[in-house]
Amino acid sequence: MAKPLPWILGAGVVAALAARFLLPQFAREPDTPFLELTPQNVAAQQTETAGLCPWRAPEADLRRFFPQATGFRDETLILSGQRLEIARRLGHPPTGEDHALPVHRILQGQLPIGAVITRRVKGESGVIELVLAVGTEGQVVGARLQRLREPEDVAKCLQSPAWLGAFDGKTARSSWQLGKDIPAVPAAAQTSAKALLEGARTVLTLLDIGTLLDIGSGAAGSRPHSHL
Amino acid sequence: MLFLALRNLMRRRLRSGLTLLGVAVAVGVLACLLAFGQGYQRGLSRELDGMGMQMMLVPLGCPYDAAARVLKGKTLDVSLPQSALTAARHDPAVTHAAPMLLVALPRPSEGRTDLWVGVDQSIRALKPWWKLKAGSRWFPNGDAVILGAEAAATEMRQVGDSFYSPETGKRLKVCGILERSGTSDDSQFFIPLATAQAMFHQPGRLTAIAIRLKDPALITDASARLQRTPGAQVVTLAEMMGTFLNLIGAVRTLVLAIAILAVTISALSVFNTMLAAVLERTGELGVMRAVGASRGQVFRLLAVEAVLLTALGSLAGLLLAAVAGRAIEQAVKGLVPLAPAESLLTLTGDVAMQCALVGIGVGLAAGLYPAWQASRLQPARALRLE
Repeated sequence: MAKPLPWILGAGVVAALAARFLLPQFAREPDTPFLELTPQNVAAQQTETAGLCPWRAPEADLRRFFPQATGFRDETLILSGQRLEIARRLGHPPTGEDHALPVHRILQGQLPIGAVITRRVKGESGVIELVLAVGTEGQVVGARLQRLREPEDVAKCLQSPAWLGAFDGKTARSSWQLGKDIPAVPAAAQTSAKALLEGARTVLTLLDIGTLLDIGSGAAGSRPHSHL
Repeated sequence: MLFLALRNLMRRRLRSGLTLLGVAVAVGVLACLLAFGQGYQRGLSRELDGMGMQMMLVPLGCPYDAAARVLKGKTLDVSLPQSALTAARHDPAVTHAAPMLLVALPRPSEGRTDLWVGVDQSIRALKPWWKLKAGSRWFPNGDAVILGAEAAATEMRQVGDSFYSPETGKRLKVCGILERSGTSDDSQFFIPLATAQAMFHQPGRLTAIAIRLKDPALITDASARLQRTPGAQVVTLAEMMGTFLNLIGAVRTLVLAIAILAVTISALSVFNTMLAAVLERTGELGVMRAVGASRGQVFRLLAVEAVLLTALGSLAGLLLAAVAGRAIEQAVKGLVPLAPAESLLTLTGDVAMQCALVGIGVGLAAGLYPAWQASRLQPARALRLE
């Protein structure tokens, strides 16, 4: 160690080169979980999925569905480890959207009194965004379409209290059959109505699985909001 | 002599290290700045070339604002008459003139704006990066829509699906989806021009006309002729690029001032280090002179020490620029107008050489006076002082 400076400089150069060339390689490592490539899974992955659906009007929805609420807390239920259970309950493999469920826990003081969940579904003429207010027992206490691109007659039918109101009291385990459990709609609204029912059932099922297993409750980015 | 100079620097490791760090930071800043300037100019030039057009006809008003808004997929409050398209297509220098009608429909409750763009077949010649996804085709009729990749994902549309415009009551069929391009096209809805004009009650009106010339050298004459089109004005992409580069130049001047300040401080630091070394080593230098070292040899020894210090600092600075430059680039990209998608930081050999020369030059200049002082020492006086 008679001449340490060249060693220090050399070590610095090697460290800098290592940082320059190796760190980006590590950053490129895929972080997606392993998925078995069965034909069913491939089909599910190829299904077009949009990004997460935001909750666009929380204040208005809280006033309407949970007037006694004092605030809400954002949670994300991580469900990627429950793919088998989700597939069993839904009857098809989960899509990319089904691996995590953003949940807005509605609070009265510190007491949870329900939740709001949202879902994008593929309507006949464009995307439809569904907002579901859910009680503590997992039953629907209110529903609203916060975005849709349907023709006026179809939009009017799907947004009518008679049709959306029929969601009230339903749970993940209820029957959601159009024309039987939920009022029938005109032929022009059938595709969108079925997509909404399937979306509602899916998102309630995800909430049910996440809540029953107490997965990630508040762990994945819990964010409180005060209300009014 | 090099080995002796290196050994002398190692005798005051902390001081030499700090001086070296100062030079490294100054050279790193300078290298990033020069590399960014070159990369931005090259990237912007390539991106504008890749657009396949050399000029745009836009409505009267601020031409640069209008062109930038159209390029970024934003609408204009005023429009062009369709006669401007006829004039452009009849110009002898024009090979392609692509009309566009852009209409924005805000949907505030949904936190977004639908952007409809009316185009015709000629747009394909001017958008060479457009690739249609498998199963897609160009408009088979007036009731068709081609969606940008992001628009299709957001609306959950696939080829063959219906697509409805609630504001206009128009039902369309998705005939194509564009591959993701990283441009504003990704979030737009493209429909036939005539359909757009009818849907939005803009018969015979256009938002802009993108123009490609037979030969870019004809741009001056073509620009002068098209400038006479009633209600329209010409903006060339070269002018736009010049404007953006002027904006960048102003920022660059400010940053260059900071870089010069950093280099000056590092020069003073080298000067201080070398002067302190001479004062500390008065006796040693006196002995060297007494045993036969010439004034020139003493001068060279101190000068080599200064140059060695700054050369190592410059090398470290260039490494710093290469490693930290990417992070700086990401931050800068968000701040500059029309930032090209490609890498802005091109640390070329020329830039590295320039920066290294500046660093070494600074070291040489800062080391001259201390070296001259050292060479003037009289052996007897130096030994007596010691």
